[in-house]
Amino acid sequence: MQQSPNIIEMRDVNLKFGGDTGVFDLNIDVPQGSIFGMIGPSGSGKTTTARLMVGLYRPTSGSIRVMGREPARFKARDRERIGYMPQQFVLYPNLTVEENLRFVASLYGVGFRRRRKRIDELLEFVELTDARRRLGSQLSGGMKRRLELAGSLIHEPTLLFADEPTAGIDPVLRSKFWKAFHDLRSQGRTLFVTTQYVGEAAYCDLVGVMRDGRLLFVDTPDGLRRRAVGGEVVQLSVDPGCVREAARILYEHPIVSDVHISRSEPGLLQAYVEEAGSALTVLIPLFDAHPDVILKQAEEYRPPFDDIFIMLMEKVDREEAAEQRNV
Amino acid sequence: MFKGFIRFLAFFTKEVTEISRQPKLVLSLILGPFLILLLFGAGYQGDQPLLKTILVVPEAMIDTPVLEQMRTAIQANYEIVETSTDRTAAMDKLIKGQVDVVEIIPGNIEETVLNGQQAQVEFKYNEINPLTEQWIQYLGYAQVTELNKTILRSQADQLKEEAADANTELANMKRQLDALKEISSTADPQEVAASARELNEALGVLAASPVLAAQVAAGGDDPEQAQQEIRDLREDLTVIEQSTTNGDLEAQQERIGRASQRIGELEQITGKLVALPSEVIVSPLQQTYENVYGTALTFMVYYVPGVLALIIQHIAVTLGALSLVRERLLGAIEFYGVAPVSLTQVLTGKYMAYTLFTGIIIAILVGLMMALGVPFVGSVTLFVGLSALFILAALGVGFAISALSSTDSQAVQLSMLVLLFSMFFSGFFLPLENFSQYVRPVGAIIPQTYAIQGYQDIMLRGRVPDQLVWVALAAIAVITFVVVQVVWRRQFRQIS
Repeated sequence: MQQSPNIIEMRDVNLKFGGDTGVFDLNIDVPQGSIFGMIGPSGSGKTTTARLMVGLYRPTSGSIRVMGREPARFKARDRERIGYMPQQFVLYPNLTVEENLRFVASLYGVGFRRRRKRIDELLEFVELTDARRRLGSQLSGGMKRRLELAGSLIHEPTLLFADEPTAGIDPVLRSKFWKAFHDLRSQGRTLFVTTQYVGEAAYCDLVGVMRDGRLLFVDTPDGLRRRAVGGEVVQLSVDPGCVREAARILYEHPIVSDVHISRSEPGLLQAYVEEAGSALTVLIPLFDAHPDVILKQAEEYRPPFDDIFIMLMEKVDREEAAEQRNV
Repeated sequence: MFKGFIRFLAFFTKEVTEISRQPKLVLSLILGPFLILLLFGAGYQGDQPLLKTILVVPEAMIDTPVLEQMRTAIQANYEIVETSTDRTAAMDKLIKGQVDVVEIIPGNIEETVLNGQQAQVEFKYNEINPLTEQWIQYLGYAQVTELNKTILRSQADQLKEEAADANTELANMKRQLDALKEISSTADPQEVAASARELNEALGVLAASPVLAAQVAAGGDDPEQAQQEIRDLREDLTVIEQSTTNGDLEAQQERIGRASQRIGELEQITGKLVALPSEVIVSPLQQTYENVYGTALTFMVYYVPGVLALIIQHIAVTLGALSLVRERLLGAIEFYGVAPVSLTQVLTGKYMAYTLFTGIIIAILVGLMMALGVPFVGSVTLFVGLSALFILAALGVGFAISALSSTDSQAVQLSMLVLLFSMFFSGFFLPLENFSQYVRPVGAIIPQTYAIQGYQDIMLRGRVPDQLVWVALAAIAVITFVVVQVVWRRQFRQIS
């Protein structure tokens, strides 16, 4: 039997808590050795999805296979391959950093010799070596999350579930976390990460967007960007006085699907195209024929994921409204 | 197998480290109970309550020796704060709560008794405490019984004096009757008639009382027969007295002989009565006590095993109750639910760590108690074994509470309920026999009930506790372990 390249597979999974709450019709494939980011607002069902994958929830219907096995039937060996960083648990306040790690290592059956080496490595990795004798209660919020990350990696898991690992920590530390995740991926591990920070989708290989318990999209970050803006964006800067003329020139070209004039920055306009790289080579020469319009700058514009997320949500709202009207 | 051992050790080490990280907790868990024990031992006397009493007596009794005797007798049980003749004022003070008891001695005790009625000594109190009420009634009963004995003793003394006089009279009568019988010239008919009359009158009192008659008459088993014999003797004496007047004494020889014999018997009996101590007449039965244990223990020592069991159970129940709830509140259960650790490993590690910790507390407490003079006469091995079983049972109750509680305050509340429950139904203060048969089984599910019995047997009596103690503690430990496993198993791998 050929082994699936996906380490996680969810098919038509539903979990109803009562009323309209729960998760519905989830279909997710997480390829081995990738970072899958699940983004969505608070209460959208990200944590529930992660808990379904680790077996803490049983689905009402549908099937889930993680590492080829149903989570409810995980054996100890399967669990030893999984790392879990829950949203709430921050280890024990009355134990030192090192004692906490030793405890988690024992939970996963890591032998005494290997444990010592591993703790040293991880403390180095999460930059907590100097704080190894500090009590859990004496750590800052960011240090606690780092300790937790170290705890979830102590047994060198193949698959790591991190439920909002960057929640409530500063941007510098967040970027360090993502660097650590990329390092883990490069070691061949798979990561399933949930986050409220939409911008973090850019760090993932695949992104799932959830809202109200439903998975709206699963795509690469670029794919999501395309879905949001209907292609790619070329941003041009001209003299503020000739911005309307420039917009007309662009709009008349067939590769441009739409043009948007910035109100906040005079002289700035964005053209929506299928593919930005090739579009630039076509659009820039257009202005040679219009010497009255002075093109100052032209480049590909990658809108931030916050904007993309809003666009996607608006798009979904529009589609739903249209569906409602049709009904 | 080896990994399983490592996982078990994880919880054992974590719990021990966490506890040792909290020196204030450790200190309060050791010093707190010890100070409670010390305070209890130093403060609890177990004496009867000191009842402030006003003695109300009739006017005529004031400044009499009888009153002094009475006061001395009463003060054995009550603290007399005032002696008064004003009943109303005394009752007023009682109502205001200035005294505990007003004791009212009746007037004309002798007259009431002679009229065939019992004189009433009244005890008035204003009490809501049923225990104090029981004490007042018991001490009142004891006091009146003592007063009755004092009165009887004085009557017995008087009776003996009269019996001594009667004995002399009987001897005189017998002598004269013997002389008459032998028709001796020395017998003076006038003297015989006077003696017969006096003796007849004296016997009249005896004949009236069946009990006294039975006591005085030979045999004394049948009061009616004894009364009949005295009546017969009196009849003989009447006839003899009349014969002396009529001058036909010689015709009464047989009657004289019979009377003489009866009087001789009576003389012997009255002689014995005179020789009897008044105390024996008043209290023919006397109790003796022997404690085969030796000397009974002081209240402090007696209650030490109970207090020790109470404290240990409370510590174990609280540790257990808070443990799993705290893990859940910390979110650790979610973490364990994904980890390759079983609930049995989690529980076993916690059981072992807490057993060790509570065991250390027991060792320190017992050591401190022994330093204060509390005896420990039994086997240390048995004590350790019983303690281990007891801790496991109490931890089981704590873990069961933990399984049923959603918050730590709920767990603490339930632990406090177990403590209260144990105070009332484990036989700690109130004997289990005092409860109805329907309520008594409640005590059977409390580990402390058996621990108290076991600790008392080992520490104070030096004997092996009853088999029931071991079996019951083991049963509670096993049942609670299974209950916790069943309740927690679902929560452990699955978030509800």
